[in-house]
Amino acid sequence: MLVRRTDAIDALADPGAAGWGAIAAETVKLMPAPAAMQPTRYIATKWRDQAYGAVASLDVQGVHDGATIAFRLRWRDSAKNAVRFENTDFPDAAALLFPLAADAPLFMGAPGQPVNLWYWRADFPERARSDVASGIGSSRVVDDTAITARAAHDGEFWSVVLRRALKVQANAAESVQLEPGQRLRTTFAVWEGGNLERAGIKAFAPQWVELAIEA
Amino acid sequence: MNARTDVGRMMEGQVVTPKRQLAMVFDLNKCLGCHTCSISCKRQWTREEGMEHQWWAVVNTMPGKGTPKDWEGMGGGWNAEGEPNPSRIPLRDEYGDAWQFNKQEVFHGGKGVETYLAPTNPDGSKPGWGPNWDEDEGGGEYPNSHFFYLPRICNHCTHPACLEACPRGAIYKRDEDGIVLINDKQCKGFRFCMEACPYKRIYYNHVRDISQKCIFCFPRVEKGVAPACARQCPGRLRFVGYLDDENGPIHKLVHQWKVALPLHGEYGTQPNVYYVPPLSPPRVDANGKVDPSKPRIPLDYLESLFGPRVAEVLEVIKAEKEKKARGEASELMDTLIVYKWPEDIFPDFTVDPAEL
Ligand code: SF4
Ligand code: SF4
Repeated sequence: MLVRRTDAIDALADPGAAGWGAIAAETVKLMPAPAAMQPTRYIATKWRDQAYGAVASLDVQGVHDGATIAFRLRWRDSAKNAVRFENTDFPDAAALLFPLAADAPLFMGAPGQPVNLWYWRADFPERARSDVASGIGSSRVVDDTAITARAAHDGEFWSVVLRRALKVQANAAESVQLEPGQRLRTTFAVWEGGNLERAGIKAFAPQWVELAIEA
Repeated sequence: MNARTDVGRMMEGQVVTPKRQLAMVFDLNKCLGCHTCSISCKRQWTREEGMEHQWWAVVNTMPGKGTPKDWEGMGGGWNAEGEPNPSRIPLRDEYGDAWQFNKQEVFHGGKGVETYLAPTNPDGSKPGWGPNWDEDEGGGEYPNSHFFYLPRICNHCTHPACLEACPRGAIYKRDEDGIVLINDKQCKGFRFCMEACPYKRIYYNHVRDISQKCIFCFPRVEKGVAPACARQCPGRLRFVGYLDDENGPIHKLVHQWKVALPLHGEYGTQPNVYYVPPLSPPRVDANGKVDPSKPRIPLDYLESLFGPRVAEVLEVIKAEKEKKARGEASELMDTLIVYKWPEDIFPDFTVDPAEL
C-alpha cells in the first residue's frame, strides 16, 4: 500500500473530507483472533462458542507531507458504541500495529521483539494511544498525545483519521520512526464494542500489509 | 510491582500457594447487621470519583438475593474438572448504583407534601436494586420466618478465578500473606475478572477505567493495624490472622475446632474468609408448639451456602455452649466470645491506627 505524498495534509484532517476520495484505499481482510491465541483459559472458554471479530474488512488510506503522516481507517459497524459508563460498556476501537524489531510476531510482538500500537477507541475520539508491547498482555502506554484523531460515525461506518509526526523525539525507541521513501510493515485490528469485544477478542489482519511511504 | 508471579496460579496440576495466608473468620452468630464494617471500608477506601457505587465490604440478609442481585446464580469460579465456569459482568444497578436523591425538591422546593424522597440512578433510571434492597426480609413463613446477616468481602482466594482470568497479569497474590491485589497500573479495565470471580466482589471504576476490589487493608496490615471492617465491628466477630498461626484464633477456629467454613466452597476458588454458621431458635409447628428437633433456619439452606459439614459444626457449637452454660471450661466458646479486644480477635494486628 502506498502512503502518498501530498502538500495539503491539513485538508484531510476530517475523515469526511472530500480529498480522501482521490486517495486509493487498500481493503484489508480481517478475521477473528483465534481462541488458541487468547491468553487465559477463562477467555478462551467463555468465547469458545460465541461469535466475535465479525468485522470482515477494513479500508485503509495513507498520506504524508514529509513531516506528518495520516491514515484513514474505515470499517462497517452499524451500532456506534462510544460511551463507557455501565459495567458492560466497551467502546468500539481500532489499532495499527508496527514492528519495532525485524522479526516481531504479528500478534502483539514477543519479548525482545516489541511492536508499537496506535490504538484508537471511541470513548476518546480525538486522540489515539501509542502503546508498546512485547507479547500478549504486555502492552503499555508510551504516549497519549503524539497521535491525534478525528472520528465520524455515519450510522453504518466508522471513519477515523489518525495523524502523527513521521518522526517523534519523545519515547523514540518505543515509537515507530517513519521517513519518506521507507518501506515497512503494518497490521490492523478492530473491536466491536457492542459485542463486548476487548483485549484479544477482536478482528485482526492475519498478514502483514506492506507500506511504501512515497519519497 | 509488575513482576508476574505464579502464586495463586495452577501450575502443572498444582495451585502455587503463598508462604503464609492471611484469613478472616466471621462468626455469624454475632453479626448485628449494623453495616459499620461496610461504612468503615467506604470511608477508608472508596471515596474517590468513579468509586461512588463501590462497596468492597457488604452485609447481605440471608436468605436473600445479595450483592449484586442473584450473584449466587451467575457462574464464574472453577467447575469440578477445574475448568473455568463462564459468567457475565453484573450491571451497576444489579450491584446497587450510587443513588442521587431529590432533596432540593422535597426539602427546599416547597413540594414536601406533593412528592417524596426518591432515589435515582446516575444515568437517570429508577433503581431496580441496591446493596441492602432486601434487608431483613429473609425467608420462611410466620411463625417460622428467619434471617441472618452474611458479611462479605473479597475472599483472597487460594486459587483466585479473577487472577487467572486477567489477560494482562494485573492481578497478583502476595507471597508473604496471600492478599490478592489488582495492580492498577497494569489493569486496563477489560473486566474479565468481574466475570470470573464467582463471588462478584469486583467493581468497575469507569473514571479510571480499571477494576477495583477489597485490598484486605494491606497498608494497615503492613503496619500491624487490623483491616478497617474488622477493627470497627461492634459485634467483634471478624477474626483476622494467619492460617498457620497455631496460637491464633483463625487456626483454632478453622483447623483445630473446624467450626469455620468457606462460603460456596463448590465454586472452587478456595476462599480465605470462613464463616461460623448461625444457630437458630427451634421451629414452631402448625399448632403453635415448639419443635426443638428442628432449627428455624433450614439445615439444607445452610448446607447450600457452607457445605455438608454444617450440621456437625452446629452440634459442636451447641455442645460447647451448653458446657459453658454449666460453668465448665470451653476453649471454643472463649475464643468466640473474645474476652479481650483486640488481642483475642486479631492478635497480630493490635496497633491503634490513631497512634501511628
Ligand atoms: S473472591 Fe473473587 S475477587 Fe476475591 S480473590 Fe476470590 S475470585 Fe478474586
Ligand atoms: S460491623 Fe460487624 S456486626 Fe456490624 S454488620 Fe459488619 S460484621 Fe456485622
